Amino acid sequence: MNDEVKILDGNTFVVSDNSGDIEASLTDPTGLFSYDTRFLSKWLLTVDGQKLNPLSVDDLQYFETRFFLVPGTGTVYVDAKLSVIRQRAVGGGFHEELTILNHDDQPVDLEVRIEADSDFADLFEVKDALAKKGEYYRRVDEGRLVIGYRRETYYRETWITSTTHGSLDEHGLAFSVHIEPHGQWTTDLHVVTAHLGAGVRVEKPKYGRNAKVARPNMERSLEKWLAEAPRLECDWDPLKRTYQRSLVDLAALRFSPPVLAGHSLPAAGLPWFMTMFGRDSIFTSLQALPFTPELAASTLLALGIWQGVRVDDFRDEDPGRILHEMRYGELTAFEERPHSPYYGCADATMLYVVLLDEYERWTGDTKLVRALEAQARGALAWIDDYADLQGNGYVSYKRRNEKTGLENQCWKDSWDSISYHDGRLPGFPRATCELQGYAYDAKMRGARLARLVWKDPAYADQLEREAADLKRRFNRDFWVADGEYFALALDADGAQVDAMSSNMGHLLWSGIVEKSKAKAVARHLMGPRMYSGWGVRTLARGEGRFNPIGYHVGTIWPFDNSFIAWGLRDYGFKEEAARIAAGILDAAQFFDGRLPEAFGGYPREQTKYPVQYPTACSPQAWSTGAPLLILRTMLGLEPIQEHLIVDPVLPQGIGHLELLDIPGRWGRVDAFGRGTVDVDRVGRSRPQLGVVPPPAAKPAGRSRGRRAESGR
Amino acid sequence: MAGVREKFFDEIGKRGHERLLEGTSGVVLAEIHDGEQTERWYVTIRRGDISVARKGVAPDTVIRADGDSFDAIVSGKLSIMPAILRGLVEVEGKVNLLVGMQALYKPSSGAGKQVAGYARRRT
Repeated sequence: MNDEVKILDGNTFVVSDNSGDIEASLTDPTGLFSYDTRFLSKWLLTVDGQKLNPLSVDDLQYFETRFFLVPGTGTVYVDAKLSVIRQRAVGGGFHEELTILNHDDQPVDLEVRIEADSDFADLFEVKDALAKKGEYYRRVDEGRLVIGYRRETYYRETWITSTTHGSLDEHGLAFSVHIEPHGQWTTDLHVVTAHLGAGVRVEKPKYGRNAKVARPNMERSLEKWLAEAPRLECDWDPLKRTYQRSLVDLAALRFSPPVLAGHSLPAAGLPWFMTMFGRDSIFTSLQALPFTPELAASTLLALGIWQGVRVDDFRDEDPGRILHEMRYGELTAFEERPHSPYYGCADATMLYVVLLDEYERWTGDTKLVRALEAQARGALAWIDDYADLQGNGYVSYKRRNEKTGLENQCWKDSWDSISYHDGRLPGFPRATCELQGYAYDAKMRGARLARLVWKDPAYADQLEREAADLKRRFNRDFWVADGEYFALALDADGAQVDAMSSNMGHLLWSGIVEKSKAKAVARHLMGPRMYSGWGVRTLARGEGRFNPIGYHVGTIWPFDNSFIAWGLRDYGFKEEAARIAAGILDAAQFFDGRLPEAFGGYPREQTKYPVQYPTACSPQAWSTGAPLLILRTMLGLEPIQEHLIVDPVLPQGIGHLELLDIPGRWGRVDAFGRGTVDVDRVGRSRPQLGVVPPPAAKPAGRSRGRRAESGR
Repeated sequence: MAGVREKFFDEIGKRGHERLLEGTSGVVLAEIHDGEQTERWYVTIRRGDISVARKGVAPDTVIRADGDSFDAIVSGKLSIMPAILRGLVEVEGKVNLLVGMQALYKPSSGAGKQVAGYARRRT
């Protein structure tokens, strides 16, 4: 649907057409959803039996929207004597203010009706068009329409009421309305997602006309969120817009799982992935650390609570393993899907330790590191006790739930993402290269925390020895000597899966790459097979499965690139990192500052604009986080003990850049930089970073924070 | 059926400590309803140390269930989240204690590390 309108609050969201109506079929993803269940599949407004036509839609906030409608058949000519306004705010269901204005000098009598229904579909059912196994019921009691669904002891209900007296029947509400000349009629409709399961009960929508306090609270919460984030000033306007967009989208992506009692972590994507994902929540928290460090704390707490404690094949759970995905719908409830939670993810457990360490480096919050010691040790133990499926000292994956588990348990989780150079697919287990990098990084960072916070130097020494051994073996076993790059994976026989991929960039970020090999890796990443001009492709041109619009086999992922740029910087390739930053930020401009999950891997000079890969979710959390991490990388922000080091290397077209009030263990610090790197490889077309005329000679990148320190 | 949970509480009380619960502290009250009767068990976890009692005060978490559902949970046949989502159990307070306690139940599937294809690295 092109004209769909989405508003949301946490994992409650409404997708409607641009009249505000919902007319869903089982496969049609519109409706009111909460906790992965559809609570309204029909919400249809008619006036005198006629549907209404949209004049305009105002997206007031991500949780609130307003529809201006007129009666009529949808011809180009509108001469309505009536207009209808639906203002809808989501939260605990939704609240809708329905207003009808009579513009005529005659009174009117109208029959206003709202048809309501729900199929209580699980999100997975909407995706896969599955049939329901329980039964529906509906009743009118005490001025309330109740629509319900029951299967054994499982039940979910939607309650509908209005503030104006109307007639309720089992299929909706009706009002006989008389409006004086130039008068208006209005009513408030409450739709409550009652009985959500997950220990959550709702009695009324979060806000309505009679709850004036609540709505401003939500707005204030967004204002506060924006006010607390660092302020960005920049000569290049598109970056300001992208930054603002990222912060607002990140606010919308906040999700508070029941175990967190009000604290929020980043969900994976809006609206279909508004839930906890180990990998996505961790990567996004890492990207956002210099801006909103509280997201990392919540992520660590929630994922720690759900850390695996037993060997369970259905959920692919092991002791110490960090979850992949949590869901709350009917299929999960009846264990027809394993998401309660599902643990089939090979990287999140190691990334958990990486995030814990990075969080401490920025915030100095040793209290949390102490509180999560057992969880971190459990995660580190998992690497050797459960993830080494082949006994060869490498982390690999193979699902034990062969029916509904995930085949590829790395971030490139589509079926054909892991291939040999000639296009063949390897068997399982698969030890993808970036997993080894994360394992190395987790051990090194775990060692730092063991020494600094847990006061266990023997454990720290052990972890460092293991890490050094892993690094040595990895650089031997994964290195494709004749091509001078790292293989994508080792297969079940320990042989190299020799496609060239963006995973190499994550290796730089993890620090597992030997210095002597880093130059060749950087050269490949920035070479024409991998780098498109917009970013680094997931798979190199010339590989058997390369396809510029293949999900993980040729498209460019902004999130991927943000970590690659970070890795390049860590190894001293500052200008290369700036070039990636320039490409991704240029691309963001084409998407109004909201980077998609992925875009096409066509050469930049061929398409002139980034070709969006069609995906259902926007914004996607780790794409939202990409510009934030890119800012950190360009400015060279690095916490060293109690100080924030600033070492800016920026693309020339950015001009002057200031990031003010960066929070951390130092309090608040400002960072300044000036664009000096000539990244122009584009030619001339529009004011992008690559092609802005170089400014008059100015001093090289510099910083002068209140307490920020330049250089290293 | 009463045998299942009595055995369970007896076993975890004797175990005394569970490494996987070293990150967890709190008191869980299990209220088990069988017909007219209500059984109460208090499980106290202090950074992995476990004790069980029939009396206690101020639990952090209360789990209410009928006997069959509760027995299914402690014998590893029913996981806590599906049980909550299906309305088989009611939970008040912190869910996290119940999540952690799954370490104490028998595995619902998976006979152990070998099933995972686990093998220790050659050294």
